Amino acid sequence: VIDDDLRGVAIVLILLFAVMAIGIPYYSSRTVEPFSELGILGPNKQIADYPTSVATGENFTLYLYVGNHQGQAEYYQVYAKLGTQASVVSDNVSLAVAPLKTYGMVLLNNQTYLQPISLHLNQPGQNVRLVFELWIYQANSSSFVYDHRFNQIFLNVSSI
Amino acid sequence: MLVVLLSSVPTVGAAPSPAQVTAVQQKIATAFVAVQQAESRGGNVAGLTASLNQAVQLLQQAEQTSSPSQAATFLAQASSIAGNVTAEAPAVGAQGAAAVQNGLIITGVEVAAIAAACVLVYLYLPRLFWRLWERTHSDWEAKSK
Repeated sequence: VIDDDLRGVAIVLILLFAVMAIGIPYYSSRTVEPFSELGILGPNKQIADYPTSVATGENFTLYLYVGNHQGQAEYYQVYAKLGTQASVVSDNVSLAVAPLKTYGMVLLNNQTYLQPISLHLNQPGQNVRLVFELWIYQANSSSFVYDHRFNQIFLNVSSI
Repeated sequence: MLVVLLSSVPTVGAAPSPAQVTAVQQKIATAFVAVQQAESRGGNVAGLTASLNQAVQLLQQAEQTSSPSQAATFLAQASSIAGNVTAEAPAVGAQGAAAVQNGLIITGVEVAAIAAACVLVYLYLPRLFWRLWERTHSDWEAKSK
């Protein structure tokens, strides 16, 4: 009776080990929920200290962060657009104006991108909406499509 | 209504022609698709994506510079890099496919080895256990009350 019990336990343990040895590497390399990240950080690489008032022609620095967790290499473009408080932009609708500046990058799976971007604005205005949208290249349509991610900051631009 | 403009937008006349830019953009996109295909076959595309990022940067520099000659140079470099990436991607994909196949063979051998171990354990472990038990308990004596 003891022999049979021992055999059973040994076989169960070895089968468990076998399943883990094969299954864990297989499942750990799969991307369960693919997603991308977009972030605009302040001049100190933090989610703080964003400029609120700038003068026309005055340079200000932000940091652009993009993360790829899509399970494969992706080609992104971040469009910087300008709008007003009344402009419509959401996770489903991109701002309907032409991009004023484009930042492109190709990222491997689980790779992130963090680069400073320097901007200055030429025209004065109140509550100017600086919108950053994440677009991703889709091979089947041979075009960039809006990836439902946007960030924005509001600025008062004063004339010198 | 837009109230401000980014001054970094190239002025009309200084920027490369839209057709030139579009052609390079398409070339980079084609290279990227080739990279994705190589990756899906198991290829290590880290080097290719690094090169592709160089091409993307050059394209952006071409769009931003006010010098037409510099823009043309940047576009030519970006186009050349994208072309190289497209050309190299199939080989990287083939290497990846071979590595995946080798990995499958190794996995098969591992599974077979584990199965063999299961059989051996099933057959010999109890005998081994009791042999060891006998050795460690050889000094035991049976007593009767």
